Amino acid sequence: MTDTGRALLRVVLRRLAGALVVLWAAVTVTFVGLRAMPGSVEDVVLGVHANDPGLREQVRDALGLDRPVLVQYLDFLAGLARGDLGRSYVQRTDVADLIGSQIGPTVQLAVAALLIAGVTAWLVAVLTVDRPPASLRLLSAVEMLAICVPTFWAGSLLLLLLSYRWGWFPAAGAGSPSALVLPALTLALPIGGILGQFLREEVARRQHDPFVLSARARGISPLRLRTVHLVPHAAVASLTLAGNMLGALIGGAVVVETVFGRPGLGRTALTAVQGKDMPVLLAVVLIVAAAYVLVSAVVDTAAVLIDPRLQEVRR
Amino acid sequence: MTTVLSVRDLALTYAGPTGPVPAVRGVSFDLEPGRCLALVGESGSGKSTIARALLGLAGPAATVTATELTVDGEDGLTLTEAGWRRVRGDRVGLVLQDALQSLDPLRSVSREVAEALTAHRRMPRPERRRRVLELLRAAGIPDPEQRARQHAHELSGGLRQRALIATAIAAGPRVLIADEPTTALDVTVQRQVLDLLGGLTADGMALVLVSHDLAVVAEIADHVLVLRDGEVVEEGPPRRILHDPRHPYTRELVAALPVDAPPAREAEDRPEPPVLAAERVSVTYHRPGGGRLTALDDVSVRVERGRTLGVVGESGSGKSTLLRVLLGLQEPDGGEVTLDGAAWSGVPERARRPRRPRMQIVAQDPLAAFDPRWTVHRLLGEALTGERAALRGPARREVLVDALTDVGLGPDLLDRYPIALSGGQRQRVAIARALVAEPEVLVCDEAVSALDVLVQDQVLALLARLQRERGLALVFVSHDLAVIRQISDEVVVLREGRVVERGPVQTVWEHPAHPYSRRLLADLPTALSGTAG
Repeated sequence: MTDTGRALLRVVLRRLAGALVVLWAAVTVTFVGLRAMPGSVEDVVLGVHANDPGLREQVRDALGLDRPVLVQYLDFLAGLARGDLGRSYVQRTDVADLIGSQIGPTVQLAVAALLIAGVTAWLVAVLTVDRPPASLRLLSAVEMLAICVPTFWAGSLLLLLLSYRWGWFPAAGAGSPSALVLPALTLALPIGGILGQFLREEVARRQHDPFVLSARARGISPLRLRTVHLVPHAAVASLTLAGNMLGALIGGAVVVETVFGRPGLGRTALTAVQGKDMPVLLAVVLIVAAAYVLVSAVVDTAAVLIDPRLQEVRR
Repeated sequence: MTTVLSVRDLALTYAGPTGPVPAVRGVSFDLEPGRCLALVGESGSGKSTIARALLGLAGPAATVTATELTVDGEDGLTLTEAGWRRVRGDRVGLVLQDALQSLDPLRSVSREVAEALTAHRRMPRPERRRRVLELLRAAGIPDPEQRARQHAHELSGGLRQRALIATAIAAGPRVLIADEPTTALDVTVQRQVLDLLGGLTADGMALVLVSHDLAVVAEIADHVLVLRDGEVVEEGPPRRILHDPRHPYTRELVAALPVDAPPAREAEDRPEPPVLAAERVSVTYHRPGGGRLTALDDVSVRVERGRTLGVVGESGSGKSTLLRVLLGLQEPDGGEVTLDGAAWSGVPERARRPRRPRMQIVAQDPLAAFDPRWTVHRLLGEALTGERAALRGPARREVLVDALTDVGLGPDLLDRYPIALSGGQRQRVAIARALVAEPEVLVCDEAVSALDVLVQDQVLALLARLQRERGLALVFVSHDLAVIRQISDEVVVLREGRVVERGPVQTVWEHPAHPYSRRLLADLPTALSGTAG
């Protein structure tokens, strides 16, 4: 194997090991936290039948709840290692099936929102570099508004106007692409606001760098200057920010899916919390942690591809 | 011959918060193909502003007026922004200082050159590639196929400056504007870049050379304009300006050229124990892919109270490693360092820390060495040692004002932030900060390299005075031989981690023994090389 090949393999292995540790820590903390909460698992599983004496023993037996907590924990980890996420206490289905049916709409929503936010922020940043200060202040105020407005309120407003009054888009569900528009827009608002402010600042700051003067002295067009020289610089800086936005995205998804009555992980997580549905919650946590690991790997790789200087720093 | 650049009564004002601020007034010149015109002056003299105005890049806040501004046949006074874009690169090229920042750090050399090639005309890919390699080769870059794929940060200072020049001449302009093209380069590289620029003019390029360094300019310019506060105070051929300066300001500039400073101090033979000594120090680095790099190989240096040791070498010679070892920031792999006769290397950091105030450093770029959010008061206060560190209120302020007075600064600077200081003021504050710790040894790492020549002269004089008054031992590291000669008693010349020459500065200058020192001295601009040239 070549030197670079070996170095690459080492990086990949190190990342994988790191990812496993992150996932393990996430589910462990959640496991401990859920077990520490008041209320017993049997009550959750039995629901209204909680007072049937015979059933209680049956449940304990079936779920192995009479064993020590440590054994249950190791059992759970062993299940995970086999790819077995367990069965939902409340919905009486395999967690894997449940998550599998809910993950699609959420990924659609998140990707659509990120695309809308990203593209809008880029366009705004590139098109407004040389606007007079007054209009930039106005723009900044609009962005501030987008960041500050609570998601549930913005979502309700969009529903009220674009759906109930004018009937442009459906109010609920996840059946058609048009049903994705309003939720994605709502979720994109705060993310787009933050990204937009950041990008504009970054592009404006870069404008005074010597390499920009060199490029302009070659007689290139302003559009080329922005897209070829300024945007990649701002991209490196904003990539990390966008990666960290994942948290905002997930938090937002809970609200948006509830407001628009969409199926999805956010709503599943909310119901699971309310019902203390431990296997489902653990699975959601696992998926969110995995998403973080994946996104940060993608972000880091992309940053090095754009800015080769980063590679030297890391060595 | 016809002129390619005609400027009459050029004036430039910036819109300021309290009305227009004049930056340039009444500047006129003509330039013919194959000739080199130099604009010389300190920062703030308007020289760079003029250079940018010749490309229509003075900025939106600037108002340019003139009775004539003709650039290769185009009337610059009536050109629109789109018109200027046709002129830029195609008729006039621009080379800036420091290619590390003047080439887009995210783009490879070939893409930067290709952009300059295709900004004005379409070119099929194979031809573009061929032209890029041709241009890099013409700029004196060996192995252009490999270099073209690299980014600015992967090239040496000299190579990347050549690459920058290649982008500026790619579209075949008839005028090249070079703004401080050799500043911050080692003397050998500076020589090579000047030769490259000289070669371009020999091929018929008209060159406008902007520099603060009269000695560099004198090398290749045919005509020199000396600027001060936006006005031409004197002009003429470089030889005349150097040997018969008429305007008081020009005289000051010429006098500040290090060679005309008082001759190196006489060597006194006082056998005194050294304050700081490194004995047979060596340092080896392990390369990431295996293999070793010997950064220092059996290097011994010593400096006594009140004396200056000059350390000369190009980048990569081991200067920085030697500095780190002397400062006790890095343990040598072999040999030892002593401070005041006591072990300085090979002891735990805890033992070293109380003695650290005895040795202080002045870095090249004080702005980078200061916390930008701290005032001068806080910056200096932090460096106070002993019981003075415990002083509060007016008593503390008084000590700090004294420290500023010592370096020739007024008390009003105490409440300023570093960004609000001039380059010279910053370096003085850096020196004051080093001195409030009451050191015995002051290590100066390229401490005057970023300063204008007049300011450089003042700071060197300040260091000499402080050394006399306090008996400071100075270790002065620089790539600038003229500066080293002016301030040093003894010099060591480093190359590839070894001392290739050492001795009293006068001796080394007049009879350099090692071929490398001879070459270094020969690379000096002739106005500076004095007895050696």
